[in-house]
Amino acid sequence: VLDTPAGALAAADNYVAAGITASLARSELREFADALVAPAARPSLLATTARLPSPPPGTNAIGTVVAHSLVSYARARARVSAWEVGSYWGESVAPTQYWAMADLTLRFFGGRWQVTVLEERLPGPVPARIAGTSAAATAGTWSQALTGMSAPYYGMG
Amino acid sequence: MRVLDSPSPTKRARRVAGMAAVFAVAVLAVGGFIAGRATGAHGATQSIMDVDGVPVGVRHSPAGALAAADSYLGSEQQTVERDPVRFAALVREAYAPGLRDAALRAARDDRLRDPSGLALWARGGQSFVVIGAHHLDYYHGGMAEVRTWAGQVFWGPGTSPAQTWALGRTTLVWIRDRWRVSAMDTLPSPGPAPAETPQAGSRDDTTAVFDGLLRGFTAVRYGTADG
Repeated sequence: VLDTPAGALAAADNYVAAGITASLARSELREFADALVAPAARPSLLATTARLPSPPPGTNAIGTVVAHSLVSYARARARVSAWEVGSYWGESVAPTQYWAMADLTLRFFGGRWQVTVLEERLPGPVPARIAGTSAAATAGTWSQALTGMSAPYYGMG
Repeated sequence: MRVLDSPSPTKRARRVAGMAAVFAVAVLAVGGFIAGRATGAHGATQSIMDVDGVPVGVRHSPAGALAAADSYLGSEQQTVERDPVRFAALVREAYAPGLRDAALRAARDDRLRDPSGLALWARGGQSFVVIGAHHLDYYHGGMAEVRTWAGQVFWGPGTSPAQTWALGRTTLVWIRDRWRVSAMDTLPSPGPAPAETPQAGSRDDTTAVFDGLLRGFTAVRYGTADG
């Protein structure tokens, strides 16, 4: 809710993380779009996401922003690129990641940042080597470890 | 950063045997702190303030404790091997006094135990820390404990991009004007790691791709909904 470069970055991070989760748990997508996406951009976002394959209903999903870059900022306008990872798992779904780059255009309107353009470039850089034991990669481990946890909130610190 | 002890030229979907501790193992009892009830420092409206390049948690609330734990863990992981000077600054600004010397010693020992990690940084290796999720296990005003699922992505010349995940626990104590770390340790249970990265391929999983696409990118910052 701050019209500053750091405010734009924090808004973008939170929107991207929420958007990833919503795109993987489609029941939340409409709510996400209504809350954070400018009205003119909503139909496009919803239509684009609907064309993408999605995990089965009831799958757990969590979105995370790993890094970001402020491409441009002018008063009430900003462009941000974010490197994101979405993770999902479930009873019949092995823990799976997808990585992407998200390019956002934001405008500050009505006291907060709104998304006017959201484009996802797939795939993003994918760290394909994975450390850890096989036990770490089971849906049971994910559910046991992450039940009750929530995604972090991104700030301007 | 704790790079895998023995980075091997594994291909995607092949698991690297053994995982180095991701979190600084600094399980050190710090007793006797009577937490203050001071309000946020500097008249802060933010939950995290930048003090000499160190993210400092200054919001005395449950959400503030979460933001502080995320920030401290992320900063610790990013600097402990790769940038000892910045790690020392983090310890000075954000660790409880009774933990500081031991944390610096532990970091020195960790660096000595991980020559491959140091070699990666010396070659210009890069990394980002990922806070995947967190949980406030308890908050008692003057103390808080946060459980965190965190990961790290690293790559560099001669080291193909890799990721590692773990569960950690950070105990915080509020002293005077900020949250300070009184303990930070790795939990023994495995940190959830992916079974599949179906997109991986030569177009997106090489060091050259990472260097090219992520040039100019910086680490995210953590905070609270109200600042």
